[in-house]
Amino acid sequence: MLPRRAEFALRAFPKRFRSARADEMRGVFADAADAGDTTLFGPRALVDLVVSGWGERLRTRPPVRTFLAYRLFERRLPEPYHRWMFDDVGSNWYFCRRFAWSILPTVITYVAMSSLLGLWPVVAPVVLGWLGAVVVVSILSVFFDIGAGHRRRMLARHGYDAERRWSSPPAVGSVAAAPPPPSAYAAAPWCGSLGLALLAAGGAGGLVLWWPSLTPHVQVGVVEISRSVDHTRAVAIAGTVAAAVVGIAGIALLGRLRARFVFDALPQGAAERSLPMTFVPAGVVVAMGAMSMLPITPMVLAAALVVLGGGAPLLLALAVTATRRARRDEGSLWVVFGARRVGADARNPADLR
Amino acid sequence: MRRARPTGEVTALVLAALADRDRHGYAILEEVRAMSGGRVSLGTGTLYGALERLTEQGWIEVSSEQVVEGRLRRSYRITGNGRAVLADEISRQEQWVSAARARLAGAG
Repeated sequence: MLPRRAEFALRAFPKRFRSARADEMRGVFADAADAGDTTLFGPRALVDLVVSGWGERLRTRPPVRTFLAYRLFERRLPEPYHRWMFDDVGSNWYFCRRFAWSILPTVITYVAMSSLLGLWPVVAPVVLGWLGAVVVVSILSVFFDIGAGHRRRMLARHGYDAERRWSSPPAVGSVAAAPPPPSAYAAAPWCGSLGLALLAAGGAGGLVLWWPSLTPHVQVGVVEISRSVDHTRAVAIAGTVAAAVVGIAGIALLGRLRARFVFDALPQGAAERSLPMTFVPAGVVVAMGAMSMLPITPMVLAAALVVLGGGAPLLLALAVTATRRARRDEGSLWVVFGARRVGADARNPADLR
Repeated sequence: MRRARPTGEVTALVLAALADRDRHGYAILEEVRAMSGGRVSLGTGTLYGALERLTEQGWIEVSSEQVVEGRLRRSYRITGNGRAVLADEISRQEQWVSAARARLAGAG
């Protein structure tokens, strides 16, 4: 029996490595124990396990550029990194990782715009409420996306049968590559997040612009920090208009990309791949309802409704179209919930269990 | 075929430990310790990180797999490509060792 601390140290290795070699390594520990060799059980040996494990993680992960393309644009990874992708998609932390990366543009844009408008790091409660609403939208977007079978779609995108489990990685090179996904579809999550981020910044800027007397403040214990907004009106106007324009453009672009995918690039029999996308606008609609219950001003809510309202009809139309296609191609709406085979181009690797 | 030279002492030692016959994990650890006169004692993590890399590079391969007293034992053997890499590494080491030895003798 391997000592608990050594077993714990083994977890430094990636899952794919442990599934292939952990039993063998336990055998080495057992051999060493039988031989009275204590060098493998000391503190240095444990440090060696941890350092080697993390070294293996770093060695086998995709390069930064490839990783960013995969995480932000859902690009397919080259075949040598498919084992890494299996670990990533099968991880319990997958949801958290996707959420963190989806709100990253939101956070960066918010901080940048707030700094420009002189709000950062002092945060007005009303702005915080707006930001909270954006986070709710992001959470719902990711949640609905994953809940609709994002893991399956990611597997199908890499050419694996999405109906199979991902806990048993296939041999690298054993499966033919699937056709590349439409880049327009791949860019959708990032565009959506960016659009929301810019809307948040625009909302914050608009708030300051229209209420110049507003004094942002935050209370930390008994100490209240406050200061006046000392930006010039011109900068505020330019920032707000730019944020709003780009935000609206982001939503429009998102809608256009999705439209192109659904209407033009959708392969026969794979309508279900487009359906999860419709959950994102559904999440927006739900979040809008939730936002109306937050203690934020009616003006902010009205502005959000005007901006988002422009894209909502298009997105809803896409949802209806995609649903009709799914019923026509699959004869069932269960596909919406990922209960049916995903992706006409998915393979059936024999070595997947 | 890839013929890059080993990047470190661990790689060379593991290849050398497998040069004369197939060995399993713990036997490799013991052989490395013996070859280096007890100077190098590989940790399990270092060994298996190296085995993974060497297998990927095609310098070693699994020769047999058996369960002994409930323990999985996988033996490895060096490939032809691995032998060539090891030979390159040995000649490289010999080259700089002889050069260093000559300078040391000249200084004396």
